[in-house]
Amino acid sequence: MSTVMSTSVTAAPGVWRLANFRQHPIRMLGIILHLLLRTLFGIFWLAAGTNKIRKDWVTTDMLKRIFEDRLTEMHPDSFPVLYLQKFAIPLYKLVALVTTCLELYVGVALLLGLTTRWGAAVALFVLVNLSLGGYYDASLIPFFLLAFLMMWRNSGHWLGLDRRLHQKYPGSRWFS
Amino acid sequence: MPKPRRCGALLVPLAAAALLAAGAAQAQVNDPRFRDYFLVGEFGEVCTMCEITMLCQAGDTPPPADVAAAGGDFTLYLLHTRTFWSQVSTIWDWFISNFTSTPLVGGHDRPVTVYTVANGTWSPAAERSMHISLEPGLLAMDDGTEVDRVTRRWQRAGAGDPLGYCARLPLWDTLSVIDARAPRGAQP
Repeated sequence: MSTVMSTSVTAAPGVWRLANFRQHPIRMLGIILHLLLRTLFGIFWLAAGTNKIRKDWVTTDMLKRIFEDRLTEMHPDSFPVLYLQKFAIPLYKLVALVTTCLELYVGVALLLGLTTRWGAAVALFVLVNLSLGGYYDASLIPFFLLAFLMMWRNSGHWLGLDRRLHQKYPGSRWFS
Repeated sequence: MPKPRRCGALLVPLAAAALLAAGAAQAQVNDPRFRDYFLVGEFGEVCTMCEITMLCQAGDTPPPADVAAAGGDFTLYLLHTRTFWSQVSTIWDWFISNFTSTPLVGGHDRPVTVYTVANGTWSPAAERSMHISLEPGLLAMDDGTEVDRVTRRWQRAGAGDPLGYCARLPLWDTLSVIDARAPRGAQP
C-alpha cells in the first residue's frame, strides 16, 4: 500500500496538467472514470443515510420491523436469521444509529475526497454487515468492487481534500 | 490550479449529491395506492431476494391462506428470487427512482415454478416466467394467465376469462409440502 501511496502522492501535484492528457490519455481517462465512480458511489451512500433520517430509522422501531419482516423470508436455520435474532434485532436502535452515521460519513468522505480510503473501508464494513444480515444480492457485487477500488487508490490525491491534508500532515494515516 | 477553483470543484459534486439525496427520500416507491395490492408487503413490492408461494384455484372467492392441501385441484406457483442480472439492474432502478417512479411500477420478471395438482395428483413442475407489476397491477404468467393484484382474481390474459382466485401461502410450510408431494426430480 505504501508504494501505491507514494506513487499517487508524487503524481498528484501535476495530475491535471494539459501535458498529462496529451502524454498519458489512457491514464487520465482512468482517473476521470475513477473520480466519476467515486462521486456516484458517494451519492449512493449520502442518499442512503439521508433516507434513513427522513424515514425516522433512528427515532422509531422502523428498522426492527424491517428486520422482523425479513426474518419471515429466510430459512429459519440460516446464518442471517441467527445474525438478526441475536445481534441486529436486540440492538436495533444502536444498529440504526451506527448505520446511518456510517453511511453519511462514507458519502461525505467520498464526495469530498476526505479520508477517502477510510470511507471506502467503512463502506466495505457496512456492505459485509448488510450481507450477513440477509440483504445480500447481486447488486452488492459492484459496490464491493467499488469499495475495493477506492481503497486501492486514494483518489482524494487527484481531486479532494486528502491531497492538501496529506501534504500538511504527511505522517497521518487518515489522508494517505 | 487556483485555490478558489479547487474548492468550487469539490463543492459542486457535494451540492449535487445533497440535492439528489434530499430528492431520493421523497422519490421512494412505497406508494399508499399499492399498499393493499396482492403480495405487496409493509415495506413495498416483492423484494429482490424473496421467494413466495401462491395457490390459485377455481371458485368465486380467494382460497384460504393456509398450507397447500394434499388433495383437490389447484395450481401452486413458487416465485423465485430475481435472476442475477435482474438483481444487478436494481442499482439502476434505485438511481432512476430519484427522478421518477415509473421503472419500478412497471415491474420486473422473475422465474416461477408451477405445480399443477388435479385430484390430488401432482404433475411435474414447469419452469415459467412471471412479470410482476404495480401499474397495471398484475402478475402476468408467460402461459397467458394472470392474477389481478387488486381483486386477486386469476384469469386469462386479454379477454379476462375467470379461472378462480389466488392466495399467498406460508413459504416454508409450503416448501415442505412441495418437497413431499411433487414428483421426484421436480423440486426447485
